[in-house]
Amino acid sequence: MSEPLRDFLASRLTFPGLAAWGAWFSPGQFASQSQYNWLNAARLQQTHQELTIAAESLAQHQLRPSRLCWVFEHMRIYFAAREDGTSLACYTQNAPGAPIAEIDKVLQDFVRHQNLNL
Amino acid sequence: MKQILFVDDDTAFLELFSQWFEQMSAGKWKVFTASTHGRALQLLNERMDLLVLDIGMPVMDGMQFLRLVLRAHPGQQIVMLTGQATEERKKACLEQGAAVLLEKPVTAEGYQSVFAVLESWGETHSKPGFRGVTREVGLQEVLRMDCLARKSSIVEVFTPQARGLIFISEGEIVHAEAGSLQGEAALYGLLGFVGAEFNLREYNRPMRRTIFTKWESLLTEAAQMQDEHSRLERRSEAAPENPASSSSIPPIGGEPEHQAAEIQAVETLPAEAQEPPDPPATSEQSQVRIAEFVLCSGAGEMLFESRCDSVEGRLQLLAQVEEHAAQLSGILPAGRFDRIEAMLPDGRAVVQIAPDRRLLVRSVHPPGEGL
Repeated sequence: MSEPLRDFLASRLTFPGLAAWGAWFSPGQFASQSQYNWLNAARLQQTHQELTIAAESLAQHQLRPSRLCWVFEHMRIYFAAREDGTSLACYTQNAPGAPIAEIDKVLQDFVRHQNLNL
Repeated sequence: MKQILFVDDDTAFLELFSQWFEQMSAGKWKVFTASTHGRALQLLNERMDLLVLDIGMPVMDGMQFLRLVLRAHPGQQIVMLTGQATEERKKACLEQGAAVLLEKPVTAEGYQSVFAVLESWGETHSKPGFRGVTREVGLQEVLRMDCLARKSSIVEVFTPQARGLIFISEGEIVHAEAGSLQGEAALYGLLGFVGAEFNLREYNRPMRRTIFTKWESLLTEAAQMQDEHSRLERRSEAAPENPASSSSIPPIGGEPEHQAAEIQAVETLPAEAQEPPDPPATSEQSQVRIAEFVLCSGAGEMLFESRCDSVEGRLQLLAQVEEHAAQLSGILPAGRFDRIEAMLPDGRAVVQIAPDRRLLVRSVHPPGEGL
């Protein structure tokens, strides 16, 4: 993982309410952190793969989102992929008080950040 | 002049049959043809007296298309054509709502027989009751009159882009349906149509009663909603452009309350879809426009679409999203999937998968909002 990316993840993904995050950085390496045992690294990686495939299928239909939010009954999964192949997913509860604005801002900055994966 | 639409992927047959039919009818019928379902759906917005549908079509067969058409255009008279009109097929077609199943003609006599059937069908099955166009509160007046007279009838309401039914039983409004909406939500949507046409049809009991509120309260509520809508529209038109307020786009996956309101607004969209192309929403959202809208049943049948370039592509997309959501649910105990919200370079899109509907709404935001 590049230093800028490590710094970004360490400094920005620290707010309360964030259940977990997972980042995929080229070439095919995965890092994650979770507040819950059941949301373990293996699950996060598997989910991340599915999120990546889903984003690709949206792109095939001329929908190229810069950020995506999958809303489930109990959970929200946020996902953003950069052009350099790095991608980030953030997990939070689907409940009032979830850090929605914070996550959105992090993803926005993640996509826009120059040279994050160098 | 009556209007007839022939749908068949065999363009040679279409050309031959339509020319011949026009000639035979001596100007009584205006003939339209479509070799694809997409084109047929477009033409059906013209309101056809009769739709003649070939069963053997690629991608979506005639039976599937028949169901789709009847959902979007209840009451549409449909004649099915097939190479082999077996009893089994005939029964299936009639069960699905077709008026009759005919064998595709191959001889001159066959063509004449088909013409005779279609012409007589058009004559004898012209819509009963009366037909009107809503002017201001015309539709409400009709409902009020029927309710006061304790009549039983079905009011079919249609615009070029949407259809719906209101069931009145012995002076009570008992059921309404429009697209995937049923009950009071559907009724309010139908009463919100401006310039919609309507037919009064003979009463048939609906599958189930979905409205239990007194008709007086329903019509009062509808009138209040229309007043509110007009008030918002006036305010939106009067409000000067305010980049500061229009740029306050909520974050992706915004607060649940906000989302609920958004989905609610989306659910009522078919009723408003016949408004001018870029209707102002509220003053806060006056810069945002709906670029695309697709509504399907839970089974994936198209119920309503607006400004959608490829219906088949969007059906595929909705199915794929459902599949991905199922995969994700298999990995994480996240509960029932509701929707995806996507921030796009020029706006946002929401794809919702519910047990009874699949929905895609894409909106375009003004440039420079930094999505």
